[in-house]
Amino acid sequence: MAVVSMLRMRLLAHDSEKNKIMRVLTRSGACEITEAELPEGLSRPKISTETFEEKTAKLEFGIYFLKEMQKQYTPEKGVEFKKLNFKKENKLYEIESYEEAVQNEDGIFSDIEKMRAILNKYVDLKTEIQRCAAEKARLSPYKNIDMPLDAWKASARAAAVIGVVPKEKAEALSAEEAPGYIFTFPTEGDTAVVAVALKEDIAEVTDKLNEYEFSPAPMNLSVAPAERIRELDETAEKAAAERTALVAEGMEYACDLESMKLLYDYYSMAGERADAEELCAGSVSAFILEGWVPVANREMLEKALSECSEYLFCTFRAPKDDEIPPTKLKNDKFTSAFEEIVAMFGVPGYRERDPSVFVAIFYFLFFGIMISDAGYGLLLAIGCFLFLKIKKPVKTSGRMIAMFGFCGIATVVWGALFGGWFSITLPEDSFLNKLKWFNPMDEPLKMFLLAIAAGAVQMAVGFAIKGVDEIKSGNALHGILSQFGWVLIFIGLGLLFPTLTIFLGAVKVPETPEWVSVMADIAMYVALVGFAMMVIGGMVGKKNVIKALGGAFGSVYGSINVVSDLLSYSRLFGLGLTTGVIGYVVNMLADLIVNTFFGGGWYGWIVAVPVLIVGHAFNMSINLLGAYVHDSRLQYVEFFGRFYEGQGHAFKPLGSRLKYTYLNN
Amino acid sequence: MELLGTGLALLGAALAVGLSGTGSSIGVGMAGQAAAGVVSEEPDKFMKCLILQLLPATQGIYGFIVGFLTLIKLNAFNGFIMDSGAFISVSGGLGIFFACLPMAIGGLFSAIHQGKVAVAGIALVAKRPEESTKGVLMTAMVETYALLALLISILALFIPDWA
Repeated sequence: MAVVSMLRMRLLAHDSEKNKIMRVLTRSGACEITEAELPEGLSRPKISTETFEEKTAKLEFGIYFLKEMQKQYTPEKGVEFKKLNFKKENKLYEIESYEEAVQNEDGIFSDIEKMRAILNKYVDLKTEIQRCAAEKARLSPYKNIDMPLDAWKASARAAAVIGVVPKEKAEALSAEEAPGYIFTFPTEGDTAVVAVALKEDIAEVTDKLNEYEFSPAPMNLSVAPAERIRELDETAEKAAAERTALVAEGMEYACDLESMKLLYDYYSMAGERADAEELCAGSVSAFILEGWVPVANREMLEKALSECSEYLFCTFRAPKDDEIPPTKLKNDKFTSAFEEIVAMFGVPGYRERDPSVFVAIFYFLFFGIMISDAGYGLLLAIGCFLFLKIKKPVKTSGRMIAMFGFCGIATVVWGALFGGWFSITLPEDSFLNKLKWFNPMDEPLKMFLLAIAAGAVQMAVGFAIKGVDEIKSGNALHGILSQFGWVLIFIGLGLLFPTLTIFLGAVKVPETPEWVSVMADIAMYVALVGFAMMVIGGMVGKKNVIKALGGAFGSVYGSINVVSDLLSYSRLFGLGLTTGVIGYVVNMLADLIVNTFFGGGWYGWIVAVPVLIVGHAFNMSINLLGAYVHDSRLQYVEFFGRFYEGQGHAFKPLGSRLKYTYLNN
Repeated sequence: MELLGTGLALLGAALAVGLSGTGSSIGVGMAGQAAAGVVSEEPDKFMKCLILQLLPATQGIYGFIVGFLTLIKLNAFNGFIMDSGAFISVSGGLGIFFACLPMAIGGLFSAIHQGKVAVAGIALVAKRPEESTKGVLMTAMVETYALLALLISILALFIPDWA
């Protein structure tokens, strides 16, 4: 449970060995390369990453291509088709698999060129189909004119206009008196109109038509419109068939996906390596490399390096005080599941305390109070652990799932204490009812006090940690007075608890026992001593009286923040009750359906069971989201606010710039 | 007039459910529009946007809880007859009415403002999806005040012996 100690490695070797050494470092996954000291006469090498970037861009295209093809692809009936995985492969790859992929890369890259050609053709076909559809839409009002449109040519004396009017105007138009002839060809859409008249009359006819929102035909057609539509349909059909065939052809490259993923990551690691090499110091033929290595990995790394090359010189030393090594956390299985929560806030600085273990314990406890239903907790724990068992996520990718699994266990415990089992009202003498401590719905005040008490414990721990840290860093007086003063106040508050519960009526007793009032007195003195310590703590180290008074006032004023933070824990109460009430409403709804609407018949359950499932699923998911978010907030604001900075940067060894695969290191 | 107390209490319940629900629907609605915009460009971000969109929905639920607890307190499912054998008194009804107000007011405004932060959070997801959790946390900060309102409403509803 701690931040791992780091060593500074300095390595001197001949340039010819560089590739081998970098490979060893990548495979070990135990070295973060940082800027090397630059002795006089040496310079930083410049390495071009253009080819790597070009290649990753090509591979990215290949993966995108398969993604697009799969969207269009419908496998033939009876053919089993497994959906392609475009996410990170859940599998550890040896460094050799990447190198193998590179040896066969020519084939892959020529395949990618072919994919590009297919995609171009595919886009052409798509445009063709769209073009046909657009022309068809323009032609469809004319489909009942069964002769070529350009047959209506102007003769020596007569002229013709062709166009459409909206459907609702067509009837009025056919009743219209105009010189010449007006023919209408109704369809289910707009109505086509052909007007023929003497040349001198044609302008008048056009004016008349315009009153009916006439729009002239945009095209001249040497075949009958219906004929043309048939042609278009044929073309579109052919293009669609070609497209389907093309998609099937494109999907044949699905077998390249894994290689493309490996190659992509290989070249992105190559880019990472190039960036790292630029941090080294180089002479004409040798280079110096510096980086951080976890203490535990030293021996392994030394052995691997000496095996790979005889001509290198490598030293390790402890970090100097002004150096800031990266942070790597090492914790037991339970605690490390909660590291993600810490990492989201920021990993601890190298010399800071790792708060993971405290976060784990409190996050675990609070999550249970917030969900407060053992049934949901059981589902959550079983679901998460089954997922881990079946999928076996590699490296740390399953951490969050494990965290929710553990939180599920906490939920079962708290749920049993609150008597929450899918919000079902438990029979009086049942076993589950005997497990029950109290029901938050019946005794909301007790629940409220529990929430505040839980908060007081966490905040007291926060103050204590800060106090210990201050004492360690040589600021003992301030640490003891200010931080442990608060701890004392919280202890006093704890002693006051029995009085408080009775006073507020959370616990009903006929007569207040003697020891309660004695405890209250002790509590008051303990809290007063704490308060005095805190006030004096504010004055420590101040040079003159006015500044000291200011400091004391500052501590008292700061206590307002502490109180408001403490009240913030009432969210445990709010969220805990929410789950119970919504679950209760869902059950009541089902009961209503069965007993009132269906008069108690078994068939009522046909409607009621889906209502129960959907209702409880909704309740569980919305409360999981709420618990996750609000539990995190309590850690970040109320707990970390007391002592934690989280300004470190996480250890990023060579070989961690991976997008589609996991390197086994 | 014997039902005046019951009516007042029910008015409180109606406000708690109605106003919180209004606030939530405004908040969720705003966030939904922003989310749809992001998803139209990048469908992969649907889940992240959905979580942010959902956050202002809780006020409506809290209001619903207060309304429901009021119904239980009034013994609404057994004809509003209290333990004392009569309908709730006018003063009792007025008390419950005021107990419902924190949730009604707090729910209405906090949901709208939470919706605004959620919209900003969705913009954050559009630009830097890896930081989405931070957007969720910022949005959750607003909810504190809805939770405090819920707390006071519930305590004020349950602790006094309204009759």
